[in-house]
Amino acid sequence: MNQFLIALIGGVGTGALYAMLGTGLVVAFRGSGVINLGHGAVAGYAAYVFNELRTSGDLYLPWFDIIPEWGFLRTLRINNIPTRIHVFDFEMYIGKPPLIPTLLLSLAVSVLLGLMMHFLVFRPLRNAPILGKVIGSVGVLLYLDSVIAVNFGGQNRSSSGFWIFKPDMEPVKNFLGLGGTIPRANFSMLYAALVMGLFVFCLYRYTRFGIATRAADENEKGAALLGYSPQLIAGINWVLSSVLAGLAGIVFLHKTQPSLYATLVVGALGAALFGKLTSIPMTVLGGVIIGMMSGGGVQLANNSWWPDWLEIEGVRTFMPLLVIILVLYFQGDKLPIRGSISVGRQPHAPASNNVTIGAIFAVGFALILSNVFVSKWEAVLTTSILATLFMFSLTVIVGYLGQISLAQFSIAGFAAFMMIRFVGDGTLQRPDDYYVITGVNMPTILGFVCAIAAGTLLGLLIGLPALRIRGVQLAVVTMSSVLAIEELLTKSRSLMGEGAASIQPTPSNPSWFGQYIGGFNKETFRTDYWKYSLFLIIITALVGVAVVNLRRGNTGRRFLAIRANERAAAAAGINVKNAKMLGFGISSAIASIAGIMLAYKIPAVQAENFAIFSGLGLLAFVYLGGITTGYGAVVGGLLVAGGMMPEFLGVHFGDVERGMINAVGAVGLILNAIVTGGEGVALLQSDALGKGPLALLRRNPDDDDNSETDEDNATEGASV
Amino acid sequence: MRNSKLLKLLALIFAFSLIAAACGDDDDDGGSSSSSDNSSVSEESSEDDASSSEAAEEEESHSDDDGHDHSDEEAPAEEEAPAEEEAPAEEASGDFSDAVNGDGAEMLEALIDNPPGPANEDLDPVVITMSNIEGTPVGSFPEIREGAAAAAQAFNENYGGMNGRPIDFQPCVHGLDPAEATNCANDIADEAPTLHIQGIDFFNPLQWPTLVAAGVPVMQTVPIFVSDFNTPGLISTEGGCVSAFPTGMQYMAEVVEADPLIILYANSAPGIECYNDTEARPAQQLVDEGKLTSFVGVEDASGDPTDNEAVVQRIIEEAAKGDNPGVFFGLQASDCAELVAGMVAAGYDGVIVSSASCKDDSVLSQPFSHGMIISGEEEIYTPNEGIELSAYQTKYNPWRDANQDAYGPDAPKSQFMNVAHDVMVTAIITMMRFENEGGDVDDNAALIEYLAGQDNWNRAGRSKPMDCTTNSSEFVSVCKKDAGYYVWNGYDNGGWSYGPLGTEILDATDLLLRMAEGPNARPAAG
Amino acid sequence: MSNILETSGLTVTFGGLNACDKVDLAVPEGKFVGLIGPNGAGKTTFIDAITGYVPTSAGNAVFSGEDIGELKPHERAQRGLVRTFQSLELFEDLSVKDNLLVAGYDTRWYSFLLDMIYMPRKDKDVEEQIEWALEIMGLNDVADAMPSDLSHGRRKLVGVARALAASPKLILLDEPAAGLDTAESQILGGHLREFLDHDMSVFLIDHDMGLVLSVCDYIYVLDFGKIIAEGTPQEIRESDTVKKAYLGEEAGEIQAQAGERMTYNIQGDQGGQDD
Repeated sequence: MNQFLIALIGGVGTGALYAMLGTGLVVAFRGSGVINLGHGAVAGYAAYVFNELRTSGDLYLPWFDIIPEWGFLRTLRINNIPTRIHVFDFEMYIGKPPLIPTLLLSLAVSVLLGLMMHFLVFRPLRNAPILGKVIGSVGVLLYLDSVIAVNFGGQNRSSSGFWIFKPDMEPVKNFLGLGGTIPRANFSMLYAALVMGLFVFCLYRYTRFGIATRAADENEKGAALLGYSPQLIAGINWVLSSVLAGLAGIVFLHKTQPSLYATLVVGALGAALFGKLTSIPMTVLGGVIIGMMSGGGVQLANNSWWPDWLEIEGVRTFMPLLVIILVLYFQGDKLPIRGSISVGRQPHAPASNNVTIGAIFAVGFALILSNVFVSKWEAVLTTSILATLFMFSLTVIVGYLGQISLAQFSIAGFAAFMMIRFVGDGTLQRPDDYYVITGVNMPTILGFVCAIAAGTLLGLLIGLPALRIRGVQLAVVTMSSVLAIEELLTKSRSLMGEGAASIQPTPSNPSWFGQYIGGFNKETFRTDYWKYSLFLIIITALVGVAVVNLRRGNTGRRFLAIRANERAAAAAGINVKNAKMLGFGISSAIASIAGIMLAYKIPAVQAENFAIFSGLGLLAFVYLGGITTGYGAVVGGLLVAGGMMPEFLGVHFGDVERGMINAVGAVGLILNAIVTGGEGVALLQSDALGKGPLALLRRNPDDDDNSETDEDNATEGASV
Repeated sequence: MRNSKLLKLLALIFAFSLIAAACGDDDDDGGSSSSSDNSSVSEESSEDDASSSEAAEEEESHSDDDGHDHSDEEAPAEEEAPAEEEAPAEEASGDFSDAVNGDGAEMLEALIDNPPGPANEDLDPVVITMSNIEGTPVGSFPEIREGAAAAAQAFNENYGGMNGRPIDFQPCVHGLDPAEATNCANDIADEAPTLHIQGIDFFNPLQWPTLVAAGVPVMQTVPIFVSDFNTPGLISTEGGCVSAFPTGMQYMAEVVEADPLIILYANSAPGIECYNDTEARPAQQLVDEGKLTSFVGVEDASGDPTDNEAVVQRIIEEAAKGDNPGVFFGLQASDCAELVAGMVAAGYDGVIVSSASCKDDSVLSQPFSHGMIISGEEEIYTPNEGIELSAYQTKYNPWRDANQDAYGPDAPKSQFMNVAHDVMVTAIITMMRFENEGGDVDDNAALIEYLAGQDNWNRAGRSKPMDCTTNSSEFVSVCKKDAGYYVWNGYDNGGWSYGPLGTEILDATDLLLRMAEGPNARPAAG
Repeated sequence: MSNILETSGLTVTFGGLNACDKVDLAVPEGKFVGLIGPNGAGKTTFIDAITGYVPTSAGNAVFSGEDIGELKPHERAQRGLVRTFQSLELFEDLSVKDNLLVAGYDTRWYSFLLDMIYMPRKDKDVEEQIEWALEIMGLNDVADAMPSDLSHGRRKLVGVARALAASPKLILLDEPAAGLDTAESQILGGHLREFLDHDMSVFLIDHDMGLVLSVCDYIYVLDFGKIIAEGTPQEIRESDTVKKAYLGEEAGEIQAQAGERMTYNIQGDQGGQDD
């Protein structure tokens, strides 16, 4: 018992990080109405900068030099963007750069990041619908991750933090008479979090700026009418949020790798929601509680009575999710949705009238390519088609229904693992496999169906919170559940088999109706077996047609109605809850199919293949292609890593740092959110083809916004 | 209104210029390009564990380094008792000697001393491919590619390539995406290279079925997974878990006589595999042989601080169960620092031994690290007391440095870069030896056989030869099976010094062989 | 004649204040009932309460003989109690016709499967109702347009059409005339009474006295949440209570006369004083 309490109290260290990151999240939200999913990466970047300054004296700016080395640019001397500034000179091991200036410089970079986020991303998106803003923050996350990869590499960093946060201080012994020891650094971090919280709290309560922020948070229009510029308020809050993130990152530097901050944002999200995105004290409290629960929970798992099937890691990652769900369930409808002055319309979701022709054309084209391609290019083709198949699930849930679920890819992973478990027959699949999966020994097709059922059930479970919450909050819940799914379910050795936490071998002989349809060609040993490709094309075509037909029918109309206006949808007789569940179910079933098809293709899967960043990447690409149409999913599939487009271009990109390519993708994502509002390349293209390329430039997603006039007119004869 | 039009224009210009720039580049096969595909926490930890399982070399060569932490570096090099090097080799006229350093050492020295000049462009190139992960924050190792490229370039420009034939180095770089990894494998199999050097890749198990079935000879830089250790056709001159951990178990049993032995491992994919396969089994073998009283494995969430307190508690608990507890770490540096600090603060006073992952400055600069025993290789220990560099190293290291400088890498120099460089050099020299003995390097199967049959092999950069013919049936691919252990005294106390082993290194070859035959053999199904 | 809708003692409390205070109101089947009152009287709250968007603190509402207090908004709508919104709340992403289709069709559990294979259920009655709704609101020429392409007035007509498309038994119109220009109000006002011919009852809320007096069979007057008067349009015009509380003696007549000019069906009536 004592040990449990010690671990519980010791958890205030991580809790402090959640509290600090959560405070920064709330600041950003109050200023601009955006929940920044990339907040952790912002913290991480500052931490990296700080560490780098202390170890090598170089200051890395958050961008790359993308100007190519062309001759004429060189002569004009504009062929370089400064990316690295050598600030300090010192001998390794003999003195380090002074702490305070280093800290200030790092925070200056944070300020720069805050300004970049405000001016380049969130200000242009201020009128975008929720999805656009979520995508914007996803873009920030992906961009910063790429820059970190390029500038700092994958090396570990864990030193050069502040002395009071180092692990080697004299620990606190016998705290509260419980015996044992608790690292003093944890308490130092707690104090830091409290100080930060107090500072921000006073800022909001007692300064004019703080009051103006709170005013704009409640009623942007009103604040504007009083003479406060909402954009200026937003900008300052972004900078403040960024600085807070930087401080949190630097304080926590000893504890863990900065590259992990991006995932630790889940705990921060929990803290922010605990504070209802408004109250700083409650955010700090929430963060500390989540940290304590995680720490204590892990300690509980040390006991002998802990059931084996409940993975320790699952408990740890589940805690923030649990808190989030509880908060949202009990307080969900009271969470603030910050009203902006005007909100742009959702991306168009036109119904297609050429379904049969389109499908025949697409299938035919794919079959031709499949015939022509061999070896790697065949594998590239199937990668793209597989991605398209998965993206159809996003078209349904995000495009049609407007529910921002970030968990679909982890559902795909879950289904893949379940399939492996279902068909597992206890034999070694390949001579070099390390693990053997014993399972239910179902025939392939039955295993396929049962795995889809399992994935759908999980998807419905994930969708339950959607009944009470929406928008960004749903994105937060689904994002948090990704980790929980991974740790509690997909990686569970008792549920999925021995290889679950490690490398799970896929069945080497999946057969439908006696035909081997795996991706591995047993004669050439390439991943290019034609029957797999054919099978994949057929399934993808069927799913695609079904998804496009959904849109044409009443189900699609209902989904769009819900997306547009849930209140009015109910008034139109739509059972919104049932419809949402249906949407989640359909989407999860499609995702499950995609996961299983992936497992047929490659010799082994890992839970990490389906982690949050992969899922976000897929969302990003389908968003680029166009989230609301099947055609958009096709385009998106072409763009994914390992797919047609990058492989095609990849031949020329050998010299370019790969991280830069990711960063360019992230920038493209943000630009797309700003410029097309999610209609993506697909609809831009059809616009251009339909009305000529110049129409592209005349097009403007803000044009068709009449909601304001409705409000104004309604207030004419306003009655209570 | 105008803003979005402007943005649209900018976006178009941007996109076009990017494509234009792309077409302006020519390059050897850069492999697939990934976009925004990132992996989760675990990926990083798998990489870290792979490295942490290795006796990673942290110290740079003498140049004071760029300050990057390299706790996760791989490169279990042969532990060379420097004292041995003092004894002059009998035949060698220079510093390198085949008898002392392994076959190929003298050939290399001859080339270094008398560079024959550039390779002959008219001859058929020797194609050497590579697959490597780059560009994601949880795993990015351009230095591996650059190290190998530096070596290839040096040989092409100064040492006549491979017996005159130019070396065509074709790296396939990819991100954390299994589709991209299989693309690379397919590509490489199509290329049918003379040799393939595997970089650091978390998707090795996805690639082997294609590469091995296609008969491509593979030399590894850093083996990570069990399938890397035990697949015919693959040869590794680095030990990975295989050299770091069994020797660690041996050390704890024979030198420390730990009771109990507490093994800390990461919960990532390679971490779990390595624990089960290269720590738990040898430890059990030692228990069965009566050399170790008992052991227990403690899992730690790699890189995640949430569970550190609980893990420390557990360690203290387990330590109390015996008279002479010993803790063995195979974790990444941030966890190592936290846990060691926590343990020491909680009153743990037993022995602490670690693989080279804990050699990070964040650990070493702390007082709690004083007295830790850390796995080491031939390297320049700064500072140190009485640890000397071999004559081989004294000559080799600057040469390697010069090659890398001549190439001008973008990534900072690091142990990973050294490993890749050295593997490339070894590959070229070995191919030359094969040809000189009448072999046909383009005959894949013959080359594989030649590599696997090396019994006195000089891995460039190491003074001690390795013997591939003594690999156990469970680890047919790993030729390096030993490691040394040094004591860290703290920066102010003289730094590194010899530990209880003195200049001796621990060789786990015998333990591995015994393990393969007894009840602790790898389960048949695996 | 039975009442399609009947409320007794309906009370809605917001933080100590009764937005609706013991409202007893009945809409006889097939009749046109109006509810008027000054701004802030509680009219929209009343509609929100009977459609289920706002919880009632006391009293009950009976629709078609069924106590609907526990039903969710969509359940009430499915039973034929359909409303429009003052703030329109159109489905911007759907065309005008799609807006109506959504309201018109209900779904079975297997509908999505049928949709996927593109063999949707088609219901003749629903299609006819939708065509009538488009026709009567003059929207045939913009059936495929997006709501955002239309003028504000036509958007309001779409809102009404959408409610009509649901084949309601009782349609609740919340300020349908606000913001319409002359032509559009004429369309609306002229057709309102036609709704009764399509098997429905109508409940109209507006603060425009003239419109209400001209089309309704029976009128309730709400002030500060309480019904202060009820009766036929004639009775309401002459009611002193109403005049004092709401209209003011002169203004009421002016409005009434303006209403006369607006609608076609009114019988000329001697009004009060001149303006």
